[in-house]
Amino acid sequence: MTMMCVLPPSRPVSLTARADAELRIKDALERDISDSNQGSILEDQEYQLIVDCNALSVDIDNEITIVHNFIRDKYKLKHPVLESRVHHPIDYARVVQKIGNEMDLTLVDFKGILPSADIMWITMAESTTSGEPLSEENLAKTIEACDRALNLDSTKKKILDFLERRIVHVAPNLTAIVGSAVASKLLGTAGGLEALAKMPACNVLLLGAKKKNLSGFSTATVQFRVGYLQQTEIFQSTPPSLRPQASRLIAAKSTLAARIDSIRGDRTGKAGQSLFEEIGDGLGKGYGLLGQAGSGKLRVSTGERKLISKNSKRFKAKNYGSSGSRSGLASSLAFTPIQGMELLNPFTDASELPGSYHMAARRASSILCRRLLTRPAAASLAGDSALAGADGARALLPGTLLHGRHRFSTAPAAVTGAAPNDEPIQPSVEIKHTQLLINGNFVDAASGKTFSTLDPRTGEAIARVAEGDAEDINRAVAAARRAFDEGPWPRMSAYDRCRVLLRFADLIEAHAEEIAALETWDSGKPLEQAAGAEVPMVARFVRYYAGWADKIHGLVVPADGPHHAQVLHEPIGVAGQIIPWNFPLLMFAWKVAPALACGNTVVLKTAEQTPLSALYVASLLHEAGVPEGVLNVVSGFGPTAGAALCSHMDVDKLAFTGSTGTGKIILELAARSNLKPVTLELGGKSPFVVMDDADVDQAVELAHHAVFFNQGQCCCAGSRTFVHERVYDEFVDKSKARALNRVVGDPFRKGVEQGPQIDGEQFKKILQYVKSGVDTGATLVAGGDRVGDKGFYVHPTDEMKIAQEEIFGPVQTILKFRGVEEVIRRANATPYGLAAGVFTRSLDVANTMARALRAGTVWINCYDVFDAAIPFGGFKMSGVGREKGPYGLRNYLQTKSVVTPIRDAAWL
Amino acid sequence: MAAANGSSEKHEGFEVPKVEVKFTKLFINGHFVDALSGKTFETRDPRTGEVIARIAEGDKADIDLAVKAAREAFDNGPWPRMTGYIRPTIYCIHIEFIFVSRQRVEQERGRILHRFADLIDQHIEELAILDTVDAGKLFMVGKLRDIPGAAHLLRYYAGAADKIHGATLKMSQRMQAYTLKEPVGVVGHIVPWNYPSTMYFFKVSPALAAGCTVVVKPAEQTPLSALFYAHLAKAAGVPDGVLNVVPGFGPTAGAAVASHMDIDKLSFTGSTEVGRLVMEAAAKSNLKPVSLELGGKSPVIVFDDADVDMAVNLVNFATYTNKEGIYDAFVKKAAELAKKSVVGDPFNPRVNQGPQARTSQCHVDKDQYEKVLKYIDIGQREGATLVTGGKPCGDKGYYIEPTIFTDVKDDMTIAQDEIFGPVMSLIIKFKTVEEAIQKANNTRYGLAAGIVTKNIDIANMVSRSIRAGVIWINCYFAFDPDAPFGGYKMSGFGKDMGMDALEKYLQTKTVATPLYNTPWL
Repeated sequence: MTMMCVLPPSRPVSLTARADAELRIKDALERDISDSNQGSILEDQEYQLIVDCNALSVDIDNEITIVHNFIRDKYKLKHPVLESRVHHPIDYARVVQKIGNEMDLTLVDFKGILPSADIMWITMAESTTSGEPLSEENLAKTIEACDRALNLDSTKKKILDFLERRIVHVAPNLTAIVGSAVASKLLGTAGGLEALAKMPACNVLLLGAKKKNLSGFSTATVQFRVGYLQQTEIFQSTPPSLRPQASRLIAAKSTLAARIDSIRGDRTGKAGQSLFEEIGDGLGKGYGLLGQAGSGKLRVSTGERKLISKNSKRFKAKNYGSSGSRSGLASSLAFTPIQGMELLNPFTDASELPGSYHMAARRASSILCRRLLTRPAAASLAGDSALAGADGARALLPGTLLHGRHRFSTAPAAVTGAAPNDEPIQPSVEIKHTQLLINGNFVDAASGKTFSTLDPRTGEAIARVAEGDAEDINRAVAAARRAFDEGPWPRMSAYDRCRVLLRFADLIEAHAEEIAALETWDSGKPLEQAAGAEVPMVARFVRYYAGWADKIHGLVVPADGPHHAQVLHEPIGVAGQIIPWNFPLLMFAWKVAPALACGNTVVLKTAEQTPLSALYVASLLHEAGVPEGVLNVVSGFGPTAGAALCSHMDVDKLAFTGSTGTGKIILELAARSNLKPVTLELGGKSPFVVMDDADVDQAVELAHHAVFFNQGQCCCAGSRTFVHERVYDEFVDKSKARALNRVVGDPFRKGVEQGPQIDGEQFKKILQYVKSGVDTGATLVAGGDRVGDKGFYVHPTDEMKIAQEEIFGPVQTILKFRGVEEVIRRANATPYGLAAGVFTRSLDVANTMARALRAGTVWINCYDVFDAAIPFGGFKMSGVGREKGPYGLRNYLQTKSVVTPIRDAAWL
Repeated sequence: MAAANGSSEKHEGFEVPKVEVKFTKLFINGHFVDALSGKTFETRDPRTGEVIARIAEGDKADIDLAVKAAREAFDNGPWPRMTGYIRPTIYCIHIEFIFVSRQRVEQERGRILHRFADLIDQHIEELAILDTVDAGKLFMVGKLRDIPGAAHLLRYYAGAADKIHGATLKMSQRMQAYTLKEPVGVVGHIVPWNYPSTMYFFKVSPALAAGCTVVVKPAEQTPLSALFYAHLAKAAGVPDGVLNVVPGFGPTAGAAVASHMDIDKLSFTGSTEVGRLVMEAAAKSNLKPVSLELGGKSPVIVFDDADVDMAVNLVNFATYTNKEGIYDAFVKKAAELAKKSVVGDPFNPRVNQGPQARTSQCHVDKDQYEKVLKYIDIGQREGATLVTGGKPCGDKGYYIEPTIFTDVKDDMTIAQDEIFGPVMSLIIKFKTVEEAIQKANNTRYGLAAGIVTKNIDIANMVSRSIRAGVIWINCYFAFDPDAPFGGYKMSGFGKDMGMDALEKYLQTKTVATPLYNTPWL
């Protein structure tokens, strides 16, 4: 009786219908399936049963939704925010059942019902929201409704289990593409295989779209209309930006497959397989530089039924989520490389496989990888693959790969073994600012033009950003000029400037997560690196220079005669700053913090690859109280905006970080315009010297990070590793193992050490260098391919290109040396002089090397130690001037001597 | 004399905020504790002479405890081992590591001091009230200047914590050498009552920034804000034992600090006589280095090209030297201004008017009050002319009228001794610059001097010629956290404020090692 008021009387699924269906299913399971059924599809009993079952399951979905709404309405009083976290109706029912009227959620054991993050969230949310216990009657009704929902779900689970086992018989090709769950839904909604076969692809795409709540079980809104197809693995494993394209492809291929199935064409499902691979190929093209791929050909199996059912059970042992929705909710990004699989056989020579086949398989498998890892049941290795067999089987058990990890590895061991079906890795940040920041306002470019900033993971656009050119630079410089000449910033007390910067640092910390996500999204660096190190360092830099603002001291000089001489340090004026894409935020801080602390005004041009984070933090700086016009940020390209800034007659100072080639142009433009002083922080080919007395394990680890840190995109990357001949072999072996253990993948994923390179151009350049290395006789020890983006060379001679030019990618060259003098000579034999690393236990060697190496920074038994107070910059063609520390202030200060006679003073 | 209300209870047009004294015990090793002896002393409201609170009275035994805590915090605690700022190690991206490093980022001296300053900003009014009822400081001045100034000092040194640089040296042999600046250890601070908050942070903030641990003995007249600051420091994250505050009396607690064998450095601000005792005690115990900021009899020299209005406005209880030509005009204006000055309840914002109000019209306790009246009496007996003031005012509390003497001779007591009261001595007329310099230097003290002139040559010449730690040209009391302050001669040694103050709390260590096969030196 209670249920009558719970549910609208319209469409309750009658108990008899359910019982009937269960009986038929049971019955059907006991029967053998006759593969030899050659008649029309409509005469196939199996097929009829499937259609019925499916209709029933859709009804059940409907009913669950209704029950869910009822529970939500009632339970809102007790836990108002629960529904905002637990979307899934079945999860919601389970949680409600578990909590009941308990007020202290720490006493409730959610284990197995929810992921741990949700448990924490809910427990905390409860303590901060005001829920009230339900009345006895309402509680009873609610709990009863929960029981009903769970009951319905278990029925549905049985039906879907059945469907999934049988659908493959009816529609093997369709199943191969969309999976059995989706295939059965498509059939059910379309009204049968024949009807589906007659549908145009665009309609197939929309099947189920209106009832998105029914089967998707997601309350999240869909951005574009896709029906059941959005529950397919392949759709879910596609990055959001590619999804419209993917869904059209899947729909087209699915329609084709359905037609094959409806005429009982290929009963083996191979046609569907090849269609599926075509989807992978089609999408792979959109990936640009990111063709992460497995080295083996992996296919979805349509055979091995026993394996399927066995593994489906294993998969379903997961307690949360609906039993039937496995394909819809868990997802990840397709380009996430299959770390484990890469390690299986990294030495595979590409020539063993036909080239085209290899590449195709690679793309498909990269899209498939999620599918394989989450659904081992559905996959096995195609027998004809060169890489099939034991290795492939291990790929399905990712955990086993880690046991072979080298002892000195610091790679996070839990990563590759972690359940890959985490939350979708979608940056949790809203892009607020895409316009130019001029005179305190976000404005469009004068030309109205915009450009796309790309997600390096996919090569797809994240946002359209206003494209500044000479006109915008003029506007920005005029604003900065006004702010300097007339505005309060250079005239306010140093303490007031200090306090603005301190507030800025506080705001950066308050928004650290968003800033880090934005940085990772735009630049591809691991989120853990951005959030754990870079954003805190940005705040640290700002605080450091805030502390300098009121400590900028000039000297009072002892004059030769009766003169009083004092030195004033005054702000230099309008500073033009051009920052690179490898550390967009850190470079922002290195440039902007000292300039502002001294009282300058700034026009900053960001790299066109990474314009977003600077705009975001610049808005925070204004929130902190910086006057308008003091910091102007212009996004744009070097030849237009950058060149305009460099040759502007009203810019008093230029600071640039980037490549040596561009640095030359900038210095030239400054010379041709108003002779503005320039500081340059340019490229390097920094030596990392490992002496025979060094701690090899530690040296391997640091040498590894020295070169691979930030995808190798570090101006100070220790890219020439000199190793003493006595430890050379040990070093190479261990380095190889370490490189192979490097976790490359989606930078948003925890434990990932290396994300994608910044863009296609950079990527191609790196591969060219790798090729040049091989061509000139170096031995490629590991990687060298787009797969893992891990390059690794030994035995090149010093004259080789790869040992001389900056590669700016994850390529390590290991060179052998005999003695200290030899290594000093070779280490210095480079046009660069940015940094150097020395690994030794000998005090004397350390002292000798520290002085002998012609480089701006020498790290002894450490590397990449960046501290706000330690000056950084290059010798030779690595640059002009120093940044950071008190030395960084000099770039932004003019020095003025004030001299006046003293008459009859007691002393001088 | 504009009569302002001497008693605080019946006030008109202004509000006396509620006074609440939260902390009255000794602060040792992160906790408020009673004195071992169980003794307490009373602290009085100088407006009314009434008892505000009873404060635990620390003596030698309590100082021993505090030093022990500070020693432990220095030798084994985290404070001296914290960095100016923890560097997140950027290549190591284990999730565990990040967790650890985020924790550690908080444990950094500069950031803790920044937080301390933020907490002071949040309690400005409360702290200003404490200084007003405890020291008779003007409430508005405390609220607008002294307490924000304390936060400013802290922020200055918070920013300096990561800017303590050693040097690499140019050796004349094949050697490489460098200097390290290391915290000196446990520091004893004896703080006076005239600027309870400002003096406290003059001492404490550079010592903390340098990484020292401190034992503070505030003046027995003004312990309240000192204890409140200790509470805020703890809330900001200063580890236990790093900052200890022991209120008490000079002969007991103060002497114990000065002669303690385990205190590595002593910093004292107060009178010259007590400074002598402090240094003697240091010499007799462990030869601890001492810095002293003592009394002054600072001259203000007004030249004939000066703007008289400005000059009068600038000057407070400094001894005056005036160029003959403008002497009479100056005296007249100074007297007018003194008469206009409103003496009254320091909570009354109107009392803030007039230059006299900027220093202590109202005296902190009865001894001081009687001492000032005695000096006024001596001045009159020795033949100086009393132009205005010279009497107590109000029937309650320790108020004295602003007082001006003229015709004061160099050798009169009021020209030589530090009176520390609202008494202005307009002395010697002078004819030449040389004479002015000579007369200005004719004192045992050398804390500060003022010059009022429009002439650049006179300004430069006189500022180099006067033997004093600070020269203020056309300004006075131009204090700033970046400007070192401290005396010549018997006004003491060692500077407060500026990067110089850090030096007091740092040891220099030279490290040298031979170089072999080096391409350069």
